[in-house]
Amino acid sequence: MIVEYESKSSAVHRLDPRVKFAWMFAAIVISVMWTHPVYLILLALAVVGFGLLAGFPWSKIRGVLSFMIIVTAIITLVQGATYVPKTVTLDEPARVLFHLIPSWIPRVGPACPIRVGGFLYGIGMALKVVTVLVVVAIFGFTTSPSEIVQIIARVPFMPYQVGFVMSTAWKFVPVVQMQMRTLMDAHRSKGVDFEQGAFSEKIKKTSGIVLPLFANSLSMADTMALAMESRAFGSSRKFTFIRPYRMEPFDWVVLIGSLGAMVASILLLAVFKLGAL
Amino acid sequence: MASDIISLKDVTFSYKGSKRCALDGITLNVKQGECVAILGPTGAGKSTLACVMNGTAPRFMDGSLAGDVTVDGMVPAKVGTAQMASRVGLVFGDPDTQLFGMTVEEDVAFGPSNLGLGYESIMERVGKSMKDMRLSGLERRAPHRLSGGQKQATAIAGVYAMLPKIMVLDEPTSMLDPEGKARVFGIVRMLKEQLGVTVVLIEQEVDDILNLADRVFVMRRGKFVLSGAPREVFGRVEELRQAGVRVPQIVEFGTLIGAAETPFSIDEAVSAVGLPCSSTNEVESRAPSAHDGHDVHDEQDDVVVEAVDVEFTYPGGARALDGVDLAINRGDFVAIVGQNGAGKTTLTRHFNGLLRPSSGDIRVLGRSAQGVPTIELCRHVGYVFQNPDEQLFCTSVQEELKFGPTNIGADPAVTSQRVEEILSDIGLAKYREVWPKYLTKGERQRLALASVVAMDPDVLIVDEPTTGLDWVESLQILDYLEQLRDKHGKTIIIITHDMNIVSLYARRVVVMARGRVVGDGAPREIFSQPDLMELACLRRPPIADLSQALWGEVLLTPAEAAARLLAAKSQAAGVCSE
Amino acid sequence: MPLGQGALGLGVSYALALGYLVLMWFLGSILSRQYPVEHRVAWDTRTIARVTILAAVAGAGAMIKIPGPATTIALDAAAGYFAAAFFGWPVGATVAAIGCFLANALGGFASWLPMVPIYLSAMALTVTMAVFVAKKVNIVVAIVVGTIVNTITCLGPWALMIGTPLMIALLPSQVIGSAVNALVGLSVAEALKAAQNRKRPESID
Repeated sequence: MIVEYESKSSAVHRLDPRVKFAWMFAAIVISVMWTHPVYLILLALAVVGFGLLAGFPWSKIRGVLSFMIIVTAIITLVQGATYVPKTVTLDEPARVLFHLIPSWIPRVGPACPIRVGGFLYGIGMALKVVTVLVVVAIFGFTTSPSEIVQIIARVPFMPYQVGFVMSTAWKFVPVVQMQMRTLMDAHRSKGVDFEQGAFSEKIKKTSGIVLPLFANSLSMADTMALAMESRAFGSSRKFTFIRPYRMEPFDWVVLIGSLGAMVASILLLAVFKLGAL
Repeated sequence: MASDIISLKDVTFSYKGSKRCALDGITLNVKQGECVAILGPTGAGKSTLACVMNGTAPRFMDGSLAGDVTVDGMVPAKVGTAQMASRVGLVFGDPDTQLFGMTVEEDVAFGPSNLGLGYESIMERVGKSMKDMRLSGLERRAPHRLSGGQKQATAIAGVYAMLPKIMVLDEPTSMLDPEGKARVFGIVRMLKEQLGVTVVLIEQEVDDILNLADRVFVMRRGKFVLSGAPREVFGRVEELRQAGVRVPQIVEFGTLIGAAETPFSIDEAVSAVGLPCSSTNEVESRAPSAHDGHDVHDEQDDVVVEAVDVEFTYPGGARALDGVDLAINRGDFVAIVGQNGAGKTTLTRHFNGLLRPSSGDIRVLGRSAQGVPTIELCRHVGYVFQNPDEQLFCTSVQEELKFGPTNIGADPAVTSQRVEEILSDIGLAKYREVWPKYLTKGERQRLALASVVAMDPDVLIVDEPTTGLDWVESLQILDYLEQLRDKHGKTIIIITHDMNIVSLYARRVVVMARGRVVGDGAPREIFSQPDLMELACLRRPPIADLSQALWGEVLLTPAEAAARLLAAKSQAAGVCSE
Repeated sequence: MPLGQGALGLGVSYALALGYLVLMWFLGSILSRQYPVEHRVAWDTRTIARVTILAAVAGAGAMIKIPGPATTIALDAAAGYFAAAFFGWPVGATVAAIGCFLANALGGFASWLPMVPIYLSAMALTVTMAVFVAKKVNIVVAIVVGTIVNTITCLGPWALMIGTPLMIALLPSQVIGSAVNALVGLSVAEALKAAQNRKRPESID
């Protein structure tokens, strides 16, 4: 998730994961809709503010960001050079801002005109990409993967069995990994060298781990099913989750704020074209 | 009887597609609050019996059930899962496959959650169950980060949170180390004595059952062959042996000396020794002094594997080995013992290069193993892992045995011959075409061992070879190892928690604690150092305690102790008659 | 070149993902009707336990890395193919989808969270299609079809959003990865089926 989850006690970390999910969703939707750079800058600032609240380690995305800035610069120029959007705010979207190959270069220049409309559109695009990147990074930084699995597990109207499979499988991954490691060690102890050989041989050697892994998982599943039966799994339509998330006032503020902003921006865009280039 | 909470009458069960009856005319009545132990070898039908009691057989396991089963006034096969699950709790041996929550708390709540109870009442049950099972404080821990004993305690707490009147525990300690075993037996005692739960305990640990169960049943091939109070059942030494159940050492000793009343505890044995013997049994002793000649010193120059000041730190930062010096001589039979986490497995994995020392050196056959890959070292040092299912890769027994030799480029003709020999040695010749998964656990363990033997290494390292096996299967494995040593001159290193095995087979015991070797010597020497045993959390076999109490010296087997006693007696008689 | 279609592309991709599921359902119901023994599944406790364990295997499989010619290949999808061939398409599709989700979650959603739902349906469709072809033609064609379908369904949405050049850059590793997973998953399923049909010890005694 670009930036790994860190267990902290910031206000954002303590938010209900569903609220964080709603926040992420709203931010992505808004960023997707708006095309005007000024609006997108406002959105980016709001996201950065949220990140500051979470104690987000900005330095960790420096690498990704600088790469993104290069990519977005290219996007901006390419858009400016190739595209003239339909626009509601610009009078002359096709006006040439500058030439990529300036006029003082003899013979070729001036060439490759960068036009206002495309250029601004490109900047907007760049902002969108960076914003979504940061939004997803903040979500990942403040929400543990197990919480994410839990959110998915508790989607309303979904049978709880799906949630059970997800969270239990998640819990089982380390168990399977241990088994995989042992299987590989056991192969090595019987003279199998995973590093050597042609690609096809490597696949064959790896299948050697996969076959017993699958075979074992069959018997494991049977024992597990027996244990589940013995704990009344599936006996009632209702399953009570014991970690009911408690919505604190701040949760409500963020939830209503995010969803409200999303709805408002959709309406404003639809009715007054606010946010559109 | 009105107070019978479990009543089975002439119950028969056979699995779909199998001709043999897994249960063959079982009749069993258990009173409320009783603790009943069921013993017997693997495949005797013990687990099937457990499943019949809560209705998972035949509801979940296909098969046909005949006879009358009544549990807590219900017919398990006829009522729903939920109803049965909150009456009869079933706990299994492998803790990993019966833990479902992301946290301990969630796991304990899993059963009540399935019943769809309200949040408050679930949390109340969870709180009580966790407190009763001494798990308080672990609520938010991830189950896979717990120790084996804690995991099993969590599994029991989860079942107990369903508030069952009956708990059926199917070999709950088979995968645990001594500490975990003690924890689980403590829980069983509490269930029975303080919580008033009716307990059906399926077990292999005879020494623990002796003082825990109200009644004991011994199963063999789907039938009860012995039943009664522990003292009655364990007194029938010959029948126990025939059924494949280990005879408690003190009892065996009592029989050997022909005590009038079978002793069950050390105190009783001491007083039995004081009484005049009712008969003069000829004692056939199992070469009592066979393991005295701890002949390390004669062979010191022929070291096969050696650790020189080895330190090892796992990538996570946990220091597992803290300066280990250990040399193993050719032809020795070494047992490495110690608590889980003491560094036993970490150390032995260095000998075939699966792990590399952070500092220090490993020497194999006199040469440094540094830079030599595992695929090279495995020609000299064979490593057998604890779980056979994690080292059997092929789809037939025969292929499995050829796998290793083929990889190291052994001569096919030689390999074929060796495989034939091994197949007959381990008694699997007739199963050569069978998928190893279809074999019993004991057979799989033997096959796993044999698949390494097939590569003809000088040294065999065997990690906990008897975990989850019954006594007869355990002896088969160890006898095979002994045969490999005696006939083929292999050096055997086993890691084990079973002190009975140590006293019967090991010539040298290496005790590890906190990443260091803290004791090294013949079993007798090690068992004579109570401080050392305590440091490594080891419990020596009862016969060692008894002989210590009687003569102030440690003896290893009941036979040895009996011989010692008879010798002392005849000497005393000789003195008297003079 | 109106690049701004990224957003629109995502929307179209979701619609496409829905289409994947519909197609999967269509092929699946043919399988269920024609091969009820193998492909009609009762969602009992045992099936749920199997899905759980195999999904965990898929998640853990993401960490098996085979160094390949283009990139390293993770075995995250093999469990899905295996489950579909061994336990029927409904189990396979579920394992493929949930396994894919777990593999992504374990990787920290490095390949962008909003794409994950699309991957899930793509994987579910792929394994269903593969077993369908395996049943109708043979396993070799199934591997080829599985590879092609997987590549198109996973990369297609990216092409919609960020254009074809990047997609072409991703193509080789995607193709090889899909092929290896299909090969390993389906062939191991065959091998295990054969092993299961071996004689049991009881019949020898």
